[in-house]
Amino acid sequence: MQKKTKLRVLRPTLREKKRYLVYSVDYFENKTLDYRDFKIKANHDLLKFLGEYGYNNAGVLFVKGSGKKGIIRVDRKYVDHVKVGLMCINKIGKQNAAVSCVGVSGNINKAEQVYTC
Amino acid sequence: MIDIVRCEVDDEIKSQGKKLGFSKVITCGDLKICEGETEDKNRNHVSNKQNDVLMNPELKSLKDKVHYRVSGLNQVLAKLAVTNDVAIGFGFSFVLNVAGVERARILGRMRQNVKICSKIGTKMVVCSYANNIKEMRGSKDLLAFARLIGMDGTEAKSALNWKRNQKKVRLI
Repeated sequence: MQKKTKLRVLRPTLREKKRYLVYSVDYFENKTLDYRDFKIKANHDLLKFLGEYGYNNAGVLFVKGSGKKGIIRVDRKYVDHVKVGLMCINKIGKQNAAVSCVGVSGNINKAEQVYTC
Repeated sequence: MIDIVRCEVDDEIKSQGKKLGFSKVITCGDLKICEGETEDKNRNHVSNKQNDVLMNPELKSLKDKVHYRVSGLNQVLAKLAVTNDVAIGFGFSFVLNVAGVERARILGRMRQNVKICSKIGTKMVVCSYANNIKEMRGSKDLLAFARLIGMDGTEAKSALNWKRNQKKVRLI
Protein backbone atom coordinates (compact mmCIF):
# COMPACT_ATOMS: atom_id res chain seq x y z
CA MET A 1 0.00 0.00 0.00
CA GLN A 2 1.26 3.47 -0.86
CA LYS A 3 1.88 5.78 2.08
CA LYS A 4 0.27 9.20 1.99
CA THR A 5 3.05 11.78 2.04
CA LYS A 6 2.32 15.25 3.28
CA LEU A 7 3.67 18.10 1.21
CA ARG A 8 6.24 20.04 3.17
CA VAL A 9 5.45 23.63 4.00
CA LEU A 10 7.30 26.02 1.68
CA ARG A 11 10.40 27.65 3.14
CA PRO A 12 9.95 31.34 4.18
CA THR A 13 12.62 32.47 1.72
CA LEU A 14 10.73 30.83 -1.16
CA ARG A 15 7.33 32.28 -0.29
CA GLU A 16 5.78 35.36 -1.97
CA LYS A 17 6.57 38.60 -0.20
CA LYS A 18 3.18 40.05 0.65
CA ARG A 19 1.58 43.18 1.97
CA TYR A 20 -1.86 43.63 3.55
CA LEU A 21 -3.70 46.64 2.16
CA VAL A 22 -6.56 48.11 4.19
CA TYR A 23 -9.15 49.97 2.10
CA SER A 24 -12.36 51.88 2.80
CA VAL A 25 -15.34 52.55 0.51
CA ASP A 26 -17.22 55.86 0.44
CA TYR A 27 -20.78 55.58 -0.92
CA PHE A 28 -21.53 59.36 -0.73
CA GLU A 29 -24.47 59.05 1.68
CA ASN A 30 -26.16 56.27 -0.28
CA LYS A 31 -27.01 52.84 1.04
CA THR A 32 -23.94 50.67 1.75
CA LEU A 33 -23.78 47.53 -0.34
CA ASP A 34 -22.99 43.92 0.49
CA TYR A 35 -19.35 42.75 0.72
CA ARG A 36 -20.08 40.15 -1.94
CA ASP A 37 -21.15 42.82 -4.47
CA PHE A 38 -18.02 44.84 -3.74
CA LYS A 39 -15.77 41.77 -4.15
CA ILE A 40 -17.29 40.91 -7.53
CA LYS A 41 -16.91 44.47 -8.82
CA ALA A 42 -13.38 44.91 -7.43
CA ASN A 43 -12.20 41.60 -8.87
CA HIS A 44 -13.63 42.49 -12.28
CA ASP A 45 -12.08 45.98 -12.31
CA LEU A 46 -8.69 44.80 -11.02
CA LEU A 47 -8.61 42.09 -13.69
CA LYS A 48 -9.46 44.71 -16.33
CA PHE A 49 -6.77 47.10 -15.08
CA LEU A 50 -3.96 44.62 -14.41
CA GLY A 51 -4.74 42.10 -17.13
CA GLU A 52 -4.69 38.34 -16.61
CA TYR A 53 -0.90 38.15 -16.33
CA GLY A 54 -0.66 41.13 -13.99
CA TYR A 55 -3.48 39.83 -11.76
CA ASN A 56 -1.61 36.54 -11.47
CA ASN A 57 1.66 38.29 -10.56
CA ALA A 58 -0.04 40.55 -8.01
CA GLY A 59 -1.55 37.58 -6.21
CA VAL A 60 -4.68 39.44 -5.07
CA LEU A 61 -6.62 37.81 -2.22
CA PHE A 62 -9.58 39.30 -0.34
CA VAL A 63 -8.76 38.39 3.26
CA LYS A 64 -11.76 39.84 5.11
CA GLY A 65 -14.15 42.76 4.94
CA SER A 66 -17.57 44.31 5.07
CA GLY A 67 -19.32 46.59 2.58
CA LYS A 68 -17.41 49.61 3.94
CA LYS A 69 -13.90 48.37 4.87
CA GLY A 70 -11.68 45.43 4.12
CA ILE A 71 -8.22 43.87 3.84
CA ILE A 72 -6.61 42.67 0.60
CA ARG A 73 -3.40 40.65 0.40
CA VAL A 74 -1.10 41.73 -2.45
CA ASP A 75 2.41 40.98 -3.64
CA ARG A 76 4.98 43.55 -2.42
CA LYS A 77 5.87 44.76 -5.93
CA TYR A 78 2.25 45.32 -6.98
CA VAL A 79 0.91 47.41 -4.10
CA ASP A 80 0.86 50.63 -6.17
CA HIS A 81 -0.79 48.86 -9.11
CA VAL A 82 -3.61 47.49 -6.94
CA LYS A 83 -4.06 50.87 -5.22
CA VAL A 84 -4.54 52.58 -8.59
CA GLY A 85 -6.77 49.74 -9.79
CA LEU A 86 -9.03 50.29 -6.78
CA MET A 87 -8.96 54.08 -7.40
CA CYS A 88 -10.43 53.47 -10.87
CA ILE A 89 -13.66 52.09 -9.39
CA ASN A 90 -16.34 54.79 -9.59
CA LYS A 91 -19.56 52.74 -9.49
CA ILE A 92 -20.64 49.57 -7.69
CA GLY A 93 -23.87 48.33 -9.17
CA LYS A 94 -25.89 51.48 -9.77
CA GLN A 95 -24.38 53.45 -6.88
CA ASN A 96 -21.53 55.93 -7.05
CA ALA A 97 -18.61 54.89 -4.87
CA ALA A 98 -14.95 55.72 -4.27
CA VAL A 99 -12.39 53.31 -2.82
CA SER A 100 -9.37 54.65 -0.97
CA CYS A 101 -6.41 53.03 0.75
CA VAL A 102 -6.27 53.56 4.51
CA GLY A 103 -2.99 51.77 5.19
CA VAL A 104 -0.52 49.07 4.18
CA SER A 105 1.17 46.60 6.53
CA GLY A 106 3.42 43.56 6.24
CA ASN A 107 1.74 42.04 9.25
CA ILE A 108 -1.90 40.91 9.31
CA ASN A 109 -2.24 41.73 13.02
CA LYS A 110 -1.23 45.36 12.48
CA ALA A 111 -3.51 45.54 9.41
CA GLU A 112 -6.41 44.33 11.57
CA GLN A 113 -5.65 47.06 14.13
CA VAL A 114 -5.99 49.66 11.35
CA TYR A 115 -9.12 47.87 10.08
CA THR A 116 -10.88 47.96 13.44
CA CYS A 117 -10.11 51.69 14.00
CA MET B 1 -0.31 67.99 0.11
CA ILE B 2 -2.32 70.03 -2.36
CA ASP B 3 -5.09 68.94 -4.75
CA ILE B 4 -6.37 70.79 -7.84
CA VAL B 5 -10.02 70.37 -8.89
CA ARG B 6 -12.09 71.68 -11.79
CA CYS B 7 -15.25 72.40 -9.78
CA GLU B 8 -15.89 75.24 -7.32
CA VAL B 9 -14.34 74.70 -3.90
CA ASP B 10 -17.08 74.91 -1.27
CA ASP B 11 -17.19 73.69 2.36
CA GLU B 12 -18.17 70.16 1.33
CA ILE B 13 -15.18 69.80 -0.98
CA LYS B 14 -12.82 71.31 1.60
CA SER B 15 -13.97 68.82 4.25
CA GLN B 16 -13.69 65.94 1.76
CA GLY B 17 -10.18 67.13 0.90
CA LYS B 18 -9.18 67.08 4.57
CA LYS B 19 -10.70 63.63 4.97
CA LEU B 20 -8.62 62.41 2.01
CA GLY B 21 -5.38 63.80 3.47
CA PHE B 22 -4.94 67.12 1.63
CA SER B 23 -3.94 70.29 3.46
CA LYS B 24 -5.41 72.49 0.72
CA VAL B 25 -7.77 72.11 -2.28
CA ILE B 26 -7.38 74.63 -5.12
CA THR B 27 -9.73 75.24 -8.03
CA CYS B 28 -8.71 75.86 -11.65
CA GLY B 29 -9.79 79.48 -11.42
CA ASP B 30 -7.06 80.27 -8.89
CA LEU B 31 -4.35 79.26 -11.37
CA LYS B 32 -3.74 79.77 -15.07
CA ILE B 33 -4.16 76.22 -16.40
CA CYS B 34 -4.10 75.23 -20.09
CA GLU B 35 -5.33 71.82 -21.15
CA GLY B 36 -3.25 69.83 -23.57
CA GLU B 37 -3.90 69.93 -27.32
CA THR B 38 -1.69 69.20 -30.34
CA GLU B 39 2.08 69.72 -30.14
CA ASP B 40 1.96 73.10 -31.93
CA LYS B 41 -0.63 74.49 -29.51
CA ASN B 42 1.19 72.97 -26.53
CA ARG B 43 4.30 74.85 -27.64
CA ASN B 44 2.35 78.13 -27.56
CA HIS B 45 1.00 77.33 -24.07
CA VAL B 46 4.43 76.47 -22.74
CA SER B 47 6.09 79.53 -24.33
CA ASN B 48 3.70 81.86 -22.52
CA LYS B 49 5.33 82.88 -19.24
CA GLN B 50 1.99 83.78 -17.66
CA ASN B 51 0.75 80.16 -17.68
CA ASP B 52 1.17 78.13 -14.52
CA VAL B 53 0.36 74.57 -15.59
CA LEU B 54 -0.05 72.66 -18.84
CA MET B 55 -2.49 69.94 -17.84
CA ASN B 56 -2.30 66.56 -19.58
CA PRO B 57 -0.37 67.42 -22.78
CA GLU B 58 -1.27 63.96 -24.13
CA LEU B 59 -5.02 64.66 -24.25
CA LYS B 60 -5.62 65.50 -27.90
CA SER B 61 -2.46 64.02 -29.36
CA LEU B 62 -2.56 62.57 -32.83
CA LYS B 63 -2.17 58.89 -33.70
CA ASP B 64 1.07 57.17 -32.66
CA LYS B 65 3.86 56.96 -35.22
CA VAL B 66 5.50 53.70 -36.24
CA HIS B 67 8.79 54.33 -34.41
CA TYR B 68 7.66 56.42 -31.42
CA ARG B 69 4.66 57.32 -29.24
CA VAL B 70 3.06 60.73 -29.83
CA SER B 71 2.46 62.10 -26.33
CA GLY B 72 2.11 65.84 -26.95
CA LEU B 73 5.46 66.63 -25.33
CA ASN B 74 9.09 66.43 -26.45
CA GLN B 75 12.48 67.55 -25.15
CA VAL B 76 12.14 71.02 -26.79
CA LEU B 77 8.80 71.73 -25.11
CA ALA B 78 10.09 70.42 -21.80
CA LYS B 79 13.09 72.80 -21.93
CA LEU B 80 10.78 75.72 -22.79
CA ALA B 81 8.63 74.78 -19.80
CA VAL B 82 11.69 74.94 -17.53
CA THR B 83 12.78 78.37 -18.81
CA ASN B 84 9.24 79.83 -18.60
CA ASP B 85 8.43 78.15 -15.24
CA VAL B 86 5.42 76.22 -16.52
CA ALA B 87 4.66 72.92 -14.78
CA ILE B 88 3.34 69.81 -16.56
CA GLY B 89 0.19 68.44 -14.94
CA PHE B 90 -1.15 64.87 -14.73
CA GLY B 91 -4.84 64.79 -13.81
CA PHE B 92 -6.34 61.48 -12.66
CA SER B 93 -9.91 62.29 -13.78
CA PHE B 94 -9.00 61.68 -17.43
CA VAL B 95 -7.86 58.15 -16.55
CA LEU B 96 -10.95 57.56 -14.40
CA ASN B 97 -13.55 58.59 -16.99
CA VAL B 98 -12.21 56.40 -19.78
CA ALA B 99 -11.89 52.62 -20.07
CA GLY B 100 -10.20 49.84 -21.98
CA VAL B 101 -7.73 50.58 -24.76
CA GLU B 102 -8.14 54.34 -24.40
CA ARG B 103 -7.12 54.19 -20.73
CA ALA B 104 -4.07 52.10 -21.60
CA ARG B 105 -3.12 54.60 -24.32
CA ILE B 106 -3.40 57.59 -21.93
CA LEU B 107 -1.34 55.83 -19.24
CA GLY B 108 1.37 55.01 -21.78
CA ARG B 109 1.55 58.60 -22.97
CA MET B 110 1.69 59.86 -19.38
CA ARG B 111 4.59 57.49 -18.75
CA GLN B 112 6.51 58.90 -21.68
CA ASN B 113 5.85 62.48 -20.57
CA VAL B 114 7.10 61.71 -17.05
CA LYS B 115 10.27 60.20 -18.52
CA ILE B 116 10.90 63.32 -20.61
CA CYS B 117 10.15 65.73 -17.74
CA SER B 118 12.36 63.94 -15.22
CA LYS B 119 15.26 63.85 -17.71
CA ILE B 120 15.03 67.58 -18.51
CA GLY B 121 14.07 68.67 -14.97
CA THR B 122 10.62 70.10 -15.64
CA LYS B 123 8.31 70.59 -12.67
CA MET B 124 5.46 68.08 -12.51
CA VAL B 125 2.08 68.28 -10.80
CA VAL B 126 -0.19 65.32 -9.97
CA CYS B 127 -3.78 66.01 -8.96
CA SER B 128 -7.25 64.49 -9.10
CA TYR B 129 -8.56 67.31 -11.43
CA ALA B 130 -12.04 66.29 -10.33
CA ASN B 131 -15.24 67.57 -11.92
CA ASN B 132 -17.21 66.85 -8.75
CA ILE B 133 -16.75 65.52 -5.22
CA LYS B 134 -17.20 61.92 -6.37
CA GLU B 135 -14.07 62.03 -8.53
CA MET B 136 -11.75 63.19 -5.73
CA ARG B 137 -9.22 60.60 -4.57
CA GLY B 138 -6.94 60.27 -1.54
CA SER B 139 -3.45 61.73 -1.24
CA LYS B 140 -1.83 58.31 -0.66
CA ASP B 141 -3.62 56.94 -3.71
CA LEU B 142 -2.41 59.83 -5.89
CA LEU B 143 1.15 59.15 -4.63
CA ALA B 144 0.75 55.55 -5.81
CA PHE B 145 -0.54 56.82 -9.17
CA ALA B 146 2.49 59.11 -9.51
CA ARG B 147 4.84 56.19 -8.82
CA LEU B 148 2.94 54.00 -11.27
CA ILE B 149 3.43 56.43 -14.17
CA GLY B 150 7.18 56.47 -13.54
CA MET B 151 8.08 59.06 -10.90
CA ASP B 152 10.36 58.07 -8.07
CA GLY B 153 9.53 58.74 -4.40
CA THR B 154 10.88 62.29 -4.10
CA GLU B 155 9.45 63.38 -7.47
CA ALA B 156 6.02 62.04 -6.51
CA LYS B 157 6.02 63.92 -3.19
CA SER B 158 7.10 67.19 -4.78
CA ALA B 159 4.46 66.74 -7.53
CA LEU B 160 1.77 66.68 -4.83
CA ASN B 161 3.30 69.64 -2.96
CA TRP B 162 3.64 71.92 -5.98
CA LYS B 163 3.34 75.64 -5.26
CA ARG B 164 2.81 78.40 -7.74
CA ASN B 165 5.65 80.91 -8.11
CA GLN B 166 4.68 84.54 -8.24
CA LYS B 167 5.06 85.66 -11.83
CA LYS B 168 5.93 89.16 -12.94
CA VAL B 169 3.06 90.88 -14.70
CA ARG B 170 4.16 92.99 -17.63
CA LEU B 171 2.38 96.37 -17.64
CA ILE B 172 1.75 97.76 -21.10
